[in-house]
Amino acid sequence: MSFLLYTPKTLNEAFEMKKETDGRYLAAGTVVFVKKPFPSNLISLEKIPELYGIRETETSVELGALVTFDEIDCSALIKEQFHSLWQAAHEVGSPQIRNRATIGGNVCSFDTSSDGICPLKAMDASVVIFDGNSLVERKITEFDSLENGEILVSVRLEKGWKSSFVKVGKRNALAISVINMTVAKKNGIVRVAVGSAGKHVLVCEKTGKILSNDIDDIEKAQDVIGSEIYPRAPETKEYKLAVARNILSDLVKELAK
Amino acid sequence: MKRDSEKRVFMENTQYVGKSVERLDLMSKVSGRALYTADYKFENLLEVSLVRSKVAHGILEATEVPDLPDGCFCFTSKDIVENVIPSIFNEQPVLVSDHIRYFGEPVAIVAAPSKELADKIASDVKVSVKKLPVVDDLKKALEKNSPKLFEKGNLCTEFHTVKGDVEQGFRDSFLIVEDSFETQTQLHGFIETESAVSYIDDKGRLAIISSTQNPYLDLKSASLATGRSTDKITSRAATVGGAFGGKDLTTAQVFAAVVTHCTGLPARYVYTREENIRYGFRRHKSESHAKIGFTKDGKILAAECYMDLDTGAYALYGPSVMGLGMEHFTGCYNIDNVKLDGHLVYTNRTPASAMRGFGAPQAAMAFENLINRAAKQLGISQLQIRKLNAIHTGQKGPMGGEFEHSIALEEALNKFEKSKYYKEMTENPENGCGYSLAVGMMSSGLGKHVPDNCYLDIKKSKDKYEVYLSLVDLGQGSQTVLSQIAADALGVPMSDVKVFMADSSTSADSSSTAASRSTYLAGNAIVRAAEEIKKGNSEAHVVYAFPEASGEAVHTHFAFIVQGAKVKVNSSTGKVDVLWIHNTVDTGNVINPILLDGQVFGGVAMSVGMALSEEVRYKDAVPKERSLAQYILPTSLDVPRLTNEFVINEEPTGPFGAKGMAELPTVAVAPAIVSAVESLYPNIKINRLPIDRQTILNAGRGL
Repeated sequence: MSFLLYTPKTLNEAFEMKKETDGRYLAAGTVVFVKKPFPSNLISLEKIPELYGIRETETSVELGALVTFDEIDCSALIKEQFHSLWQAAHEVGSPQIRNRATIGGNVCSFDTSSDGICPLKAMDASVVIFDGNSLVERKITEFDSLENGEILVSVRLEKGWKSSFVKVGKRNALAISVINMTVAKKNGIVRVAVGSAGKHVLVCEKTGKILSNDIDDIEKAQDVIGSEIYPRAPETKEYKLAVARNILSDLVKELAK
Repeated sequence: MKRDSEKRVFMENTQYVGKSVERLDLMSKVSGRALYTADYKFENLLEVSLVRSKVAHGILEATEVPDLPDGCFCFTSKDIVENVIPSIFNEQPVLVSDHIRYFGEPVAIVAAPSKELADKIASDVKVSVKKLPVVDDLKKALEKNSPKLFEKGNLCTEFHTVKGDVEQGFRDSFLIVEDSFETQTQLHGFIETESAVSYIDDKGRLAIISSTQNPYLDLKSASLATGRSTDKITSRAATVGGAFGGKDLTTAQVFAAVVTHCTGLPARYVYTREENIRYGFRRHKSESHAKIGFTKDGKILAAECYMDLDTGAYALYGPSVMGLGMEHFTGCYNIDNVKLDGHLVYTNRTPASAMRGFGAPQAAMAFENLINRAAKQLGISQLQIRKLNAIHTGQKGPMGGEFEHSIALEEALNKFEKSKYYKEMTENPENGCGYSLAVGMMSSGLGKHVPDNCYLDIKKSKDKYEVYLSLVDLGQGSQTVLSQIAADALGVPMSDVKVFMADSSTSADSSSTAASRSTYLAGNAIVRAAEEIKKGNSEAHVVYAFPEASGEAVHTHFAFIVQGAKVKVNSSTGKVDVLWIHNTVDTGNVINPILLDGQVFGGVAMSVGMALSEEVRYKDAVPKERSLAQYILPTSLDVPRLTNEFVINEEPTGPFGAKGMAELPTVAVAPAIVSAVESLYPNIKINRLPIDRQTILNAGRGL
């Protein structure tokens, strides 16, 4: 395995290097380094200062794309304000992975089993993207690829959510989610996101609507969620549908606590 | 680690035996100084890759080798002198010459100055194959119209034995329980993959250094494949990163040896993890059925058990695994009427061979679960039903042979009864948790009709003592244990003793490091050699033979274990968390308590994986799993609280009273976990490993 590593110091430099080399952006490498074929040009984003740090305003919190899961795990602010994201970060991989892996890298995997995307979609997060000229903001629910050298700069969440996350893995660490789910509530609106049960992390709008109308109508929501998720592998379909019903109920009850 | 107060020196007149002596390889391993096979450096080293079959069943029609760059080589079956890997039936070729029997079977050896280049050439070799229909199922393999792997058919061997009158036993029974069970294909999960390096040494010999349980078998394999006489080959083990049966037959060695023999250059072959997962040896998948008859009080009157094992494309150690599985099926219990039947079956799956437990865990999965189900129906405790039926010295096993050695199963059950675990289970169970126990036994030694000798030398010079034997320290700590035995047997400080192991150039062939035999066999050899030295000889050469079992019995002595499992089940997901495994062991006297704990805890961790998550799945005989992201080994967060006690029970024939026990802790963990889960639901039956979460969800919904 051999590769050229570029280490730009600004977003503009990174963008230019991407154009020149058609290399792959590198955050922590916990995904890139285990996937084949291995890219021959890597553009590490680690020297770009604005990608770091958790910034709080009165109404929102912005996480730099290179904030690690360990930082999230250790953040009292995230634990308090965006509990589901904190829960997800706490269970990602293993201590070694959490020390390296970043929220930005996780989001940019666009993986259905991503434990980071699930709570972010449920809490209707936005992403801030550098498109070569300026920073643009998009809803994470509309963010399903990076085009033309775009760079994810940060993830922004509005405060005021009450939320809970659950992950079902085949073991207690270093597990890929068999299914994961977040239920989040703010100003009477309930949103439900489910991972590993479709091509992308899905936002179950009908289920959310039922619970927004009546948070106690769990049974009706359970009946509907099965029509909003699409487990692909036939051998696990029945299991995922059954578990989705059960953990939806668990999470709604958890929120009521 | 806090030590239990009972784990003190309990033997008189010993300085080291009975003490938790620090393992001799500790510092070299934790400091990274220990040399594993891949750490050996050579100039002009050739890296080896294999061309492996991409079909699971077929006839090899042609192998087209591309033009090779300078310094690169490719060898096919035509280059192999005697194309066989030695095992029980000697049926597996080194390289396929005609009949391909499994996906990944080696077709050609490529050697190049770099691994990348070797891989590239290997992928450019064109292999033409006429495909044959695939045999991917144990039961279907035995059907009349099934495609055949061998001319004789797909039934490799069978096993049948009857003791007493089973039908009468069942007629007299108050309760009969029976069911069918399945266990999965499991991997050894060692950290270091299969690996070997070879080179021509300064005496012109072909020298092999490898990760192995049996250096002499590698030597023999290399001799057959290359046509070199055995005195022109040496073989030794490097530091070994775990084996568990998976390095008990030749793996990487023969391929490196062929390259070195043909080129004169050093060669190295290290399996990738993917090769290990897809093509390495594995535990036999089993399908079994057991039927047990009881009196009203819980005494077992009759047992009828069968077990079919999928040995994959070649028998390898399969016939012994099946024999041992059958021997152990009912072995913990004194039963007058027993019928045992087993079949070892070929399929086009990856060859299965030895794995820690060697058939006994598959059998225990069936028998121990049924015992617990019967206890529930009879209204007696899981402990009581076992005390009532526990085997004792002097009683006869299912094959008619008398148990002549020490057995302390009943004492182990009594000790288990006094444990904190059992107290919690019976008096103060945690809300929502399931508890259960199971027992297991494990033979020591290779068994009747197999040469089972230890050739051992002690050389004294001044006040230093050198001990030589060909058995291997695989990481289990045998060098430490044998040093303790040698020091006490000689009556000298341990620092004056050095044990040299696993090298064909310094020791004669003591066969495989397997079958829980090292401590007992080599320990006895050391004790006898030490007597010679103490008589004033400066050299002692001893051949110690494992005692033979009487009658029709295969093995002469066994260790026993009681294993208790505490579990918690997530009713929303069906996920099982194992919270506690408590063990009580009868292994005769204990040479090194902390190493015993290590063996027990490691064995339990393997079997927690067997119970919960590990499985190689196949589609059309092609393994689906390729990496450790897919093959789910337990992590430190999945391995429960572990506690271990032992009963003090001297085995009169053992070195300082010890019996072998390396495989023992894998035997009864899975059934204990399964029974603990079953205890939480009124109508659940878990008959397959790994435990299926859907089965638990269905039980929770009353289905």
